[in-house]
Amino acid sequence: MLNVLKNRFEQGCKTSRYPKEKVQLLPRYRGRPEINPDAPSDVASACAAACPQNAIDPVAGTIDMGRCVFCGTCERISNGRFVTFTQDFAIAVAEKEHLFTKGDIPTLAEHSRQHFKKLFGRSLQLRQVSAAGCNACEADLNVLATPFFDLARFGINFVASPRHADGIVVTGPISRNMKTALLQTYEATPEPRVVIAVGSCTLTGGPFRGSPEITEGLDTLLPVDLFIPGCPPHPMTNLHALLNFFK
Amino acid sequence: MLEIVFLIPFLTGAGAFFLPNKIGRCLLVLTGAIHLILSVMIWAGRLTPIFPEYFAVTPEGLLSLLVISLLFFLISIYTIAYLKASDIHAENIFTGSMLLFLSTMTMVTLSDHIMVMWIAIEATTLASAPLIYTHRTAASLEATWKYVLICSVGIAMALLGSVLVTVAMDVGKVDAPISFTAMTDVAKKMDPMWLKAGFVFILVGYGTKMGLAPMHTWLPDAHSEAPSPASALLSGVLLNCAYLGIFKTNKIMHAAGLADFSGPILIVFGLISIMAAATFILKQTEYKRMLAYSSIENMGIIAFGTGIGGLGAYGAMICLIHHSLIKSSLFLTSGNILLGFGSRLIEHTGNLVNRMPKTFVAFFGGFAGISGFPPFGIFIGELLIIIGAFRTGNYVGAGFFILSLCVIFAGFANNVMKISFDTSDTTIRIKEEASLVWPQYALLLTSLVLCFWMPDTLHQTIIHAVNFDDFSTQAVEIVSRGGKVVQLFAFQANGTFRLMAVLRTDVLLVAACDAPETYPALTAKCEPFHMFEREIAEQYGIRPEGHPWLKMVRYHANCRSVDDVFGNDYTEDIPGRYDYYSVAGDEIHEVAVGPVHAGVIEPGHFRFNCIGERVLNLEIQLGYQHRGAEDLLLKADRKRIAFIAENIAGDTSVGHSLCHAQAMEALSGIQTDDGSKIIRTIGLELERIANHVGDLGALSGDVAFLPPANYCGRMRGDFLNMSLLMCGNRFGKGLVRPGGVRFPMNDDNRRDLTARIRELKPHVKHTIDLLFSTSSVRSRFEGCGTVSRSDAEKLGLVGPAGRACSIPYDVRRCFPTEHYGQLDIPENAEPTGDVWARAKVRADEVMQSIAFIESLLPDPVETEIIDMADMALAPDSFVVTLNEAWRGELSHCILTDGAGGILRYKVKDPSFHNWNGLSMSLRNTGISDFPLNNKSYNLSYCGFDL
Ligand code: SF4
Ligand code: SF4
Repeated sequence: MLNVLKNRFEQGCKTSRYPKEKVQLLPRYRGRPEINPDAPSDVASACAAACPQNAIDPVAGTIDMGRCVFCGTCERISNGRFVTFTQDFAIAVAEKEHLFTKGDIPTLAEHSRQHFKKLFGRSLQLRQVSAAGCNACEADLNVLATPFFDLARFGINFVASPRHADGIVVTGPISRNMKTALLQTYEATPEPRVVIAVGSCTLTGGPFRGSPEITEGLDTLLPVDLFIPGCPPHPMTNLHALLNFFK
Repeated sequence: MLEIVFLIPFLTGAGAFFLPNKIGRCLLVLTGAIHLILSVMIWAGRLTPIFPEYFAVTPEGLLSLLVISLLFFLISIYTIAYLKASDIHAENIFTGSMLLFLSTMTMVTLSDHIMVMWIAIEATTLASAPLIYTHRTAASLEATWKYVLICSVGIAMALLGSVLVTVAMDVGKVDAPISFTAMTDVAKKMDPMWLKAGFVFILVGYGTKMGLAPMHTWLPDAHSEAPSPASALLSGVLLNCAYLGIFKTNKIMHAAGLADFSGPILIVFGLISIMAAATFILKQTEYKRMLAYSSIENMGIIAFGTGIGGLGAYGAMICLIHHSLIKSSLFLTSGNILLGFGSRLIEHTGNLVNRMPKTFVAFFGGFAGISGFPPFGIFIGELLIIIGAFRTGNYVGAGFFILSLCVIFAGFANNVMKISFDTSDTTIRIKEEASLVWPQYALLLTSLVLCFWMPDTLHQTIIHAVNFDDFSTQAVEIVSRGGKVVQLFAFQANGTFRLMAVLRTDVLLVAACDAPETYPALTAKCEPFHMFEREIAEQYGIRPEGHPWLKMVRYHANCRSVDDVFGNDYTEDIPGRYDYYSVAGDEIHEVAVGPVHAGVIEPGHFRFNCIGERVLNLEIQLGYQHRGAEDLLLKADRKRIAFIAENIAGDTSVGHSLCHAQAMEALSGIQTDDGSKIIRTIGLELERIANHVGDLGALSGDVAFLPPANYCGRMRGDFLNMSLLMCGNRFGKGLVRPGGVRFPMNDDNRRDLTARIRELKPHVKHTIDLLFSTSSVRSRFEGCGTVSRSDAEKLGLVGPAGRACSIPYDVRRCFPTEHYGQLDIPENAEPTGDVWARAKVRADEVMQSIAFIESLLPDPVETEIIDMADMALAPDSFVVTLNEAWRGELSHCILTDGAGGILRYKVKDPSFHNWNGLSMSLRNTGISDFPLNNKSYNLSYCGFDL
């Protein structure tokens, strides 16, 4: 018993005070991209050609955050002249068009569905469905339940049954073998229900784009309310998205 | 126009009989050169037969053809000089016969029809007889007479044998063309009795021609009487041609499952030949006869190796090539000695080293090569044969083999010493023409080069010659003796389907062979092949007959669009709809879980058969996560593939990207610097720590001891953040790329990491201590979900799951890559095989990994960061990489095609082995302990499903 207490004191209190206090992520973290509209066109095209995800439109000067895996290749080869990544983790959006960014992302809270705020603002129960995710997106959702993020303090929980849920959170590129199970889970969730797509895979197929075994975008199957980009999205991105969309 | 390659020498040969000597000589070299060019074109696949029912390019035939062609070309150059220096009767007959001889031998190598083969071999006798009689002496007449007579009797037997083989087809009621290729395919249905009889006759018949004792008596005479260039051809390639006949028939025997019959016979003939040669060499007075006996010895070695099969057969192939090169060089050199000393007797020679120094170099080099000195190929070949013999338990044979080789070496060495160093009456230098020695040098050099550098296509040609039966026997053999399966997969190359195995003992072994349509399952004899054979059946529709549990792996159609082995209809995208293994009885009940689970985890279906609370059997059906990653890796742009490989399992991103990077580096010859090795090592260890710590917390949570559950959850995040610090991603994605790493480790980073670890280490230590010292935890962990060591061996468990069953294998220690060679990796085996052991191994590894990282941080790390290395992959190559990911042995294989494109990308995640461990743990375990066991393994769904 003494041992247990000793340990308790050693560990201390680790829960973050977000959103009351700001959280600063480490320098190498790559969050919201910023694009220099005046970049020479050859630099922009070089970035577009090197991007493994073909996420860059050099003419429009935009990045499709749905495809982007935030690898930073474009920032590096343009030496920051075309793209720079900020430490801003608030990159979730409510409309698919908003994923194509020049650097500014519409404030999520203003684009969220107001009736959801009313319905789920105080209590939100979510069913997570992993549909061929690589377990990184899943893990960084799961981590929200650990003491640092402590999602439950906001009245948000992940539950075991879709029957008890207000919506589903989908990760992964939705493999052929998982599609039916996903759709059935969606059907089993009582209406009104929320659909949240997490990770580049779910948004566009991510790194697995082009494989006949997967689906390129959850929005081709279901109406998606909240898009959270990243590969995987940082837990803070997830947390920010949930709080701003529902609170 | 394949036939052109023997038609040309036939025409020029016929012409040479009637042309003046000068033109004849030119024709000889010219034909040799054209023949060589044509042979290389055949190698490159440029020529196809006009009569495919009679002629075909087989790997073994191609190999012999290339050897013949190269030898003939060099010998023809030598011949010109030799003809100038010696006077020969009727030179036009000599050159004409040489060319006809070439033509007939070429025909042997290309003939696929059993009767055409026979005709061609008989034709070689006729074409070569005049060569032996060139000197027109009484002795040469006798030698020719013996040669023609004995070989004709032999060849008659071979004819009988060939007829018997066709009878075997008749009796077995198979209707197929009587070509070797076709017969090998239908061998199973042929009548075994007649086939056996046919084999014996063919072996004796062609064995006569090949010079196997006791039918060898013509050989020493013929080889010593013929002029040296002709002896070189007789010994260097004619014997190979005869061997081809035996080899091809033996292949049919293997395909018919009669290897047990043909193997011992070959071994016996081989040993008799070697021992006969040993007796005669010891007391030999003529050097050309000595070389002739040495040929008998080598043919014995080759027959012995072929009889052993597997590695032995591979060794035999190597001996075959190198014997041809070296022995023909020796015979040419003996021609020089004869020209110089004017006698075939050893006692009339001496002091070669001073009198003919250039010839001496060729002679001594040839002696070293033929006696099996390292590094010559014969050494490698003989070594492989001996290893093969021991592996197959042929200890007696191996004993005789080694003994005779020693005797032969002694006899040979004795004579060589006499010739080379004995003081003769004079030391006058004998004139040596340059063109009389450089062909020998070229031959020896070729042999030497082939030892160090074997062109990949040639290598594949040799590997190719290993047939499926040898492949499977060897594989089962190695694994039954404790070897492990790292990879076993099918692939398609040049239109044929092949199998590739990577096995490990304390070394890695690789072999490939043609894949049969169906074959007797290896799993029936040896369990560790279980999952691999199912995977091959699913991916390629190749059925392993008699597989004890032939069930789909991931639920998808095969890539060949042939009938599904499992009878599934893939228009329904539900992997779980399948007749599960079930148990009947009154109190039996089934529990189905998934694919969508209660927690935030990946999908999979679990079917429990229980009696009360106790689980009798847990069947796991995965495949829901299948993204087609292996196929996508072939199709996708090069710039994408590192990303695809990395995301095969996101919790093992560093492991997968490391395996990928190492494979690409090996294929493109890119070196990485030391700094990147250290950073990669730290990355892989951080991944290990984060996952283990998280799972220890989850285990604690599952036995309702919440403090460590919460602490571990938090600390896991702290370790993930260290990866974020290193590369901007919590899972280490984007850190490792082919060529090195994408992010430097500067001094600030090192200081920051050191401080974080210093703070965290005691927390981790104390939490682990708390967990393991709490009695309620121990009582739940101990004895729960036990897997015995022998079951673990059969299932092939790897990583902590294996180490918990006292299998200490750890890639970091056994096959270290990156910086691991410099680290002292302890053996973490625990004996109990239960949840406690798995938790304990993982907890120990956490502390060890922390110590490794601490030891790497004090010194500055310098590395050149890379982004996208420019990768041109070596064509026609194969690479396998292994790393100890946190779940255990992770392996990537890449095969490239002729243009350096990726032909096959195969990934094996450790979970591919370990899921069956979880099933085994649940046997007779309470169903409520499933979560606990599951977390003690924490296996990858997507890594398994790819
Ligand atoms: S960071 Fe995104 S946009 Fe830039 S190269 Fe990588 S995937 Fe492409
Ligand atoms: S988006 Fe990235 S992290 Fe998420 S599942 Fe796909 S590959 Fe994994």
